[in-house]
Amino acid sequence: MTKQLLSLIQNETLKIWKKKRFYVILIILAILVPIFTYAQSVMSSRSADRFDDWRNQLQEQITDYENTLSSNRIPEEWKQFRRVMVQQLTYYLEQDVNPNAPNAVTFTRGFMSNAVTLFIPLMVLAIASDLVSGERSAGTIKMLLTRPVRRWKILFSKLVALTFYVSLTIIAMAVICYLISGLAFGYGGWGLPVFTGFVINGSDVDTTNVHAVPQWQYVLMQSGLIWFAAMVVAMLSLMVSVLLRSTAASIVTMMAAIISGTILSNMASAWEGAKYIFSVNLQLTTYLEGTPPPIEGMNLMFSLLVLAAWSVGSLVVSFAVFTKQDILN
Amino acid sequence: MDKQRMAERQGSKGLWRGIALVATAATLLLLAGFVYAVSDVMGLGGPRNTLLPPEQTPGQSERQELRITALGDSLTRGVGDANGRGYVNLVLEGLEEKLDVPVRLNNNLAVGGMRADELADKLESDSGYQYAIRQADLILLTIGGNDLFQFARYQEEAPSVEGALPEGEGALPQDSGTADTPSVGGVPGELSIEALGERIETALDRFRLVAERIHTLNPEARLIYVGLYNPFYDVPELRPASLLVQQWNNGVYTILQSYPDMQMVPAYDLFEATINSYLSGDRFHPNGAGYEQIAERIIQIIE
Repeated sequence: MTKQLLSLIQNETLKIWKKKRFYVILIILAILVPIFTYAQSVMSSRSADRFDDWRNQLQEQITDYENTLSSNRIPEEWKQFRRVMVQQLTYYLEQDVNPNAPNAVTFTRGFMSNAVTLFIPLMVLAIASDLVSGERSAGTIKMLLTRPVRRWKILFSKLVALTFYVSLTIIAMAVICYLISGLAFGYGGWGLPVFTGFVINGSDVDTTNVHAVPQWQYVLMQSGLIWFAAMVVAMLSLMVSVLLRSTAASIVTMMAAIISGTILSNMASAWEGAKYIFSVNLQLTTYLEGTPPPIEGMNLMFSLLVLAAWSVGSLVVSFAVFTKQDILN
Repeated sequence: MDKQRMAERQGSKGLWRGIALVATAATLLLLAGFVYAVSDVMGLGGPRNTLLPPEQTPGQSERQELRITALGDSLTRGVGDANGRGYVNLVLEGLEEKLDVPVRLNNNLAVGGMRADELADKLESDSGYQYAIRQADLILLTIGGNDLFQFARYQEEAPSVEGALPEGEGALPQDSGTADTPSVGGVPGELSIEALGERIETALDRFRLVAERIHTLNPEARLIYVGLYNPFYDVPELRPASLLVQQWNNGVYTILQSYPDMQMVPAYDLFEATINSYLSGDRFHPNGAGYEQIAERIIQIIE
């Protein structure tokens, strides 16, 4: 019984591996990360020319925020973000901690936190989108379903294999970021303190709960949250891949959903209902960073619940459809 | 044939074991990170690490370069200069040439619309400001324009934005206790000349505080203050404001005299007969040429 399931999982895992998608992800990372590393190192060497002390640089950043704050042209929602940033940076300054010290761990942290809304979902889609629809277009689904195996087991084994690759992708991303950016910035920064626990009330930042964690712990926490978000995307795209016959259609559908979430969280922060859309909630890392969420009133628990609801729903639909569906042609 | 197949099988078995092992470990690690993150954000984590008290910021050390910190309002920011350089960057370039030593801009901490009371607050509470001032050899300052003219500018409905903000909109924590809030939106025509006169005394008190705090933070640095001008010189009804501006400049001069290393450069004369060549399109800030003249004056008195 479990042996059968295990060999199914093995089969699915190897199938994904043989499709070489994971290589593609690694290659994309190996190309992109050096580009960002280079850009970052140009920027930090330029600011090192200007400022020989990070405190002055940070203060200048604060002043810049304050200057844009005094402009009438900036929408109120953006100002709120800046006000929060001013308070956060001031906190770092008061504690005499450099939030942007250039090193490989800081780079990894920054890259991952920027990748959570688009880049990582895209990588997940590369693996997940054709899990079922690909079998259908290749015609192998008939062979799969004519074997004396319950259908839910087949889908479940696909889900487990998918989970494997989501985890591998995130870990691989962190490792590649660290290894490549370390060449430019040095491999230190593990123990650097990072502040977390900023609580945002409107445009005020409550710092009573703020505490320092070593950066490696922070990256671990952040990766955990990213993993959760990536898993939600994985389950949703599994559902889409069950529902749609064509792999291309399922990739486009999921991409549209994810991109629209990014646009919505940038544009429609006045529309409260948008906070129930899964893709608006993907940036779980904001709660760790203490930056304002896309829509006021969102918090970690809320986002986790919304994301959990979406993934449970998509699992129910996937399994219901996959076990009942007729396979024609 | 069979052997080859067996080997292939063996190989994929090894591959599967490898992937499964690494992936399971990765999943568990990430899951642990997730649980940790959730409990941390929710505040369920154990005792908080107590924060270290901030280190004492190091003061000036021996250097072969001149460090400049610029403070104040939109003039120091360089508003009105189409090239975006403002007088600060011009002074920087000019001094480098004149003195033949590296000149470094520590920071330009000017914020458009800043008033003297806000600056005094910043100097007292903001460690970034304190740090930048402690490191400076030369401090460039413009302040007071918003204390005096905020009301007037608002009435004029000047097209540019900063400084014309209603109170309380600004980014800066405002100490409404000591700041006398300029009454926005008075009757047009009855311009602020009377109001200006009253305002000068309060503003000078605030300025005294600014000078005192800068001196306490860094008694060794030289401070150069750019005097105010009357931006409404060419408006006949507002020309008398020039007298009040002089009253302000006089007061500031008196305050600066009590410190050994504080000086003022005048700018009012630039904006009288030649006001149209030196004032920018917003009719309030200098333009590029105006900033050049101001920079020139600052460079003149540094050797």
